[in-house]
Formats: sequence, structure tokens, C-alpha cells
Amino acid sequence: MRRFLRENSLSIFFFVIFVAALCGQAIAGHSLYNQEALTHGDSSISLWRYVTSSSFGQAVMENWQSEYLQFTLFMLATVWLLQRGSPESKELDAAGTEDDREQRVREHAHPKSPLWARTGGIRTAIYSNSLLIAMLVIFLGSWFAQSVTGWTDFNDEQRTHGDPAVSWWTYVGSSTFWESTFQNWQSEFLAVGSFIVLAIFLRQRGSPESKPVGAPHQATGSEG
Amino acid sequence: MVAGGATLGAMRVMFLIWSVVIITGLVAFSIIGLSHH
Repeated sequence: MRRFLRENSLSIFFFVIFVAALCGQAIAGHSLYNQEALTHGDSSISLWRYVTSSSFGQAVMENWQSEYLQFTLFMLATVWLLQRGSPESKELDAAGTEDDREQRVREHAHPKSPLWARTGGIRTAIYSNSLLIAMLVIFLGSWFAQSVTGWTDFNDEQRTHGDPAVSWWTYVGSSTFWESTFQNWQSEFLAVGSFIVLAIFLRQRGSPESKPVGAPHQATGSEG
Repeated sequence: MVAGGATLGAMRVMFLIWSVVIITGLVAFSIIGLSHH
């Protein structure tokens, strides 16, 4: 058990703080929702009703989609684009998808390489991009979920003001949808871009996200 | 270092847990939104 915890501590740590933060969001969001309901003369709702509401779903999904877009773009951009001096960039002569020998696929696969790295053909092509495909599907899925929960939430608001409900297509073309989308995207792009550049000159001893403390500022693609 | 069978099993469990959480979240909130809940 101790070995399991040690060998998986990174993912367990993030899982625990993810659940804690989601619970915090649910409790605070429920409290806020009921305060506003009382202000408008509506009745309050239970915590369960709140966490299964489009209001909560929209708040959760708009953040999910932007995080997965961030990782999708980061992964895709770092295949071809470079930043001299950054540990997040590949070395300056390594831009592109690299050859089969470097990627240990097809006849260059090792005995313990994953099966789909060895087979060649469509399976190796799919497996070569499987992480990107998964992140992209999650991004699109959570963006869709944001759109339908936001749509329902928007129409609830319309009803309380005596305005007519709108179609999903109208909602996804609305400034309400795009404001909540862009406000999340800009922060993700800022964080990734600044991290790439800050890591040229700054260090965190022991982190694979940083260069070694003594690595020169010009060193690109080295990890601590 | 290449992991042995038991360690690979634990890694698969982590992969499965995270995948289930993400898919459950996406599907559940899509249904909630589409059902106008």
C-alpha cells in the first residue's frame, strides 16, 4: 500500500485536491444560488438539486474545456514551435514529428514497446496521436457540455424576466456564451505563455518542469 | 525503468479512475443541459 501511494502520489494528490475544490465550488455556489433566489423571492434548493443543475454544470464545464484546450494546444504547438532557452520547448533542431527511430516505432520498436507502436499502418498512426486525440475529444465534449448547460441556464434567466427562450444555435452565437468562453481561454494562454518564458531564466530545483538550477539560460529542452 | 505486472496494474487503475471521472462529468452535464434541468 505504501508503495502504491508513493508510486502514484502525483496523480493521487491532484485527484484529492480536484475533489476538494469541486466540493468547495459546489458548497459556495449553492450558497450563492440560494441567496440570489431569496433576493428574487424564489424558494431555495437543496445541495443535490444544485449540483445536478445546469447552473453548476455550466460553471464546471467552462473551466474544464479551457484547461483541456490549453493542454491540447500546448502539446500540438510544441511539436513544431520552439522557444530558445525554455525547458518546455524541444531542442532547436528537433522541430516536427521526428523520425521512426527517435520515436521507437515500427521496425525501431523495442520488445516492450506498446503493441500499436510495433504494428505499423493505421494502428501506429492512431496510437502516435492518441494523447492529442483524447485531449481534443475531452475539450470538445466539455465545450459542448458548457454550451448546453449554459443554454438551459440562459433560458431559465430569460423566463424569470418574462423574455422568450432561445434556440441552442442562438445561444452559441451569443455574447453570453463567447464571453464565458474567452474569459477562460485568455487566462490559460497567459499562464502557458508566461510559464514557457519565465522558465528560461527562473528555476525550481528538482522539478521536471524546470531546467536544472545550474543549467545555462541558453539551454533549450533540458529538464531538471 | 520499466514497470512489472503489479505496477502496471496500479497504473491502469489510475488511468481508469481519471477516465471515468472525466467521461462521467462530460456525459452527466451534457444530459443535464439537454434535459433542461
